[in-house]
Amino acid sequence: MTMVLMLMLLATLLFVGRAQSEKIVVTLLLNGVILLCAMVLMLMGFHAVFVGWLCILGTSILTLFYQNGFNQKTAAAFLALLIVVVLMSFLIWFVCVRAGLYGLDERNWEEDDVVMLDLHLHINMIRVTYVVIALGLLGAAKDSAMAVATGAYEVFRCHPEMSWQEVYHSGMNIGRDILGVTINTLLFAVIGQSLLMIEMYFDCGYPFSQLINSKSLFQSAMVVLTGGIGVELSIPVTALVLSALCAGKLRLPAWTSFFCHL
Amino acid sequence: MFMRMIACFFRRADPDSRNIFLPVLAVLLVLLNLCVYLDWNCYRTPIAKVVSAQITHTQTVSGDLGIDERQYDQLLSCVVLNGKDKGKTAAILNTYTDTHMDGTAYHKGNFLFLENIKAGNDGTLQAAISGQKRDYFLSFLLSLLLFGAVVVAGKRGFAFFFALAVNLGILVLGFFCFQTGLSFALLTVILILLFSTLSLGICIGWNRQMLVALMDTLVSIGILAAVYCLVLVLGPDVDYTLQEYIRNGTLQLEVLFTCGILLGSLGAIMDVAVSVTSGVAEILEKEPGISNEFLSQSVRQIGYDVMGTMINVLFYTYLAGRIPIYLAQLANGVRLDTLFQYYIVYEILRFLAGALGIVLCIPISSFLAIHYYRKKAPAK
Repeated sequence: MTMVLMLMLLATLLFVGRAQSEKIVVTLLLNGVILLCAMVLMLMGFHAVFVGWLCILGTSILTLFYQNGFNQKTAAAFLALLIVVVLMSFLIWFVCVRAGLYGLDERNWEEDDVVMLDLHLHINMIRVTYVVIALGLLGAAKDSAMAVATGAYEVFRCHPEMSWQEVYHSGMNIGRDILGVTINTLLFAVIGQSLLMIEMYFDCGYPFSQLINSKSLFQSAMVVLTGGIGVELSIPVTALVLSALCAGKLRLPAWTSFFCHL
Repeated sequence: MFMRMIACFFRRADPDSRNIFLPVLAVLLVLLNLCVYLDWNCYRTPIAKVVSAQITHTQTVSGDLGIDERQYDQLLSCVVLNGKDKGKTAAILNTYTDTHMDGTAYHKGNFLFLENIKAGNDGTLQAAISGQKRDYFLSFLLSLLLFGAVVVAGKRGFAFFFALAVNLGILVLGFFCFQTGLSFALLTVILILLFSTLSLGICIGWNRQMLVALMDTLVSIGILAAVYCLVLVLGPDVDYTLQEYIRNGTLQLEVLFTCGILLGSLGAIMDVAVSVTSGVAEILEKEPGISNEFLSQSVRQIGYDVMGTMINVLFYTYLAGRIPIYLAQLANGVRLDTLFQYYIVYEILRFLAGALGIVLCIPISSFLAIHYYRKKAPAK
């Protein structure tokens, strides 16, 4: 089943994407490898936040610089993404620790295959949860950051005499256009993923008061909420970084040209 | 994509009525959050606030795997906030380990739901924790999302948030219908129609571009559904019983899973459809005499721009979420291929179907959009 779908995806990608499809497939595969490696490293006992940041840097470099090529647009998106993830890290960490979002949720305890597990591990699940949420956020923010950066940069290329404020404003205008649909992507992905969970709430007759306090609901909602806030944050930050780059107030250091060879 | 964005730049920004609106919204949101934070009197379950948390005992424990880790006993002294024991203090013992997998470390200021409250010998109460109050975190994050949307996108941000609320309402309503015996497949069709019409209508506005985007979305999701069902019928069977949260043995898991896949792809397909249609509209507005060949080429370019990052969004949303449980399973000696075959397979199927939807949507929506706009053009 998986194989059939995978082959179909490859075939349509080749048919639709032609030249670009190769890069998309390689990026996907490497992203999978990165995730697997991250899991292995965490199992080996490395600090999960450290592994997570390697992962964040790795996938950003891969998706931005390999898939879309290294240039001012992707460099601006990359810088903006780092700023967004660092800023959001405080929020994620705070909510994770204070609301106890880590670990198994209250319903997992009824799963046969979870009850069997020995849960005394060397892995700190607070850190793993932080990494998971940060990675989800990164994916969504990358989408909006790239859209803002490419759009605003094209406007700048047509009108090189623009001041940095004007570049910033065109970036924000594009952001306004994509904000809704980008967050909708996240929302529906999470709804589709948690259909069984929602069904369970109805089946077990969860009272509303218990529902809004439940860990399982919050864990799912967290993906949309932090992802959405990350998207909102990434729009002005990307517009700002790109306008600074375009106006020459911010220069890329020479060593970054290394990424051109990816 | 950039064509449409160039146009956005020239479109004048909304006249700034936001200047007064933003502080008002901020004050309202702060008030709302305060209400949610202080709402313990609305609960029938006893709620207690943690006044102090002290670690009373630390010991080394290990399980079947033989990995040693520290386990902490935490003495929480709490004040009961509601119910008949209001105002009394309760002393609660709580245990957690360094892994933080099956226990939660509570902090000063947390709110806990209590059960089995008994009077202790020295006037304090003894109780067990049945859960943590999290509603104020939820409302805090939701408020941040709303506020950010309004700061970044003004009225449209507000419209987006409204659409989100309406969609969630429809989802809940749909599940009530499902409980009364409506078939899930039919329900999904209705949900998809409502979701896409309302999201696009509220986010873009009721105009021609929205209609084209809606048509693209519906045709694409229809084709995706057909392709997926074909694979489902022809391909080998998938065992759905290992998914989480199955409580009801009579559920048609295959139908539910397929519907979940279609609903999950809907957002991504809408995103692509919107990008493609607005791209076509902008190009035709700038150069009405453009040849069909050249037009479809530029539209394809827009598609590539969106495709790569969109597929990545789905990849991380679907596959990163369950890593904590996968880690626990791997550490317990579940082999990687078993994990793939029985547990990750659901997420992979979701991701593949979603990615397929994105890729299929590009030629379909560019064909439909070009066809539609071309047909309309001579009439003007």
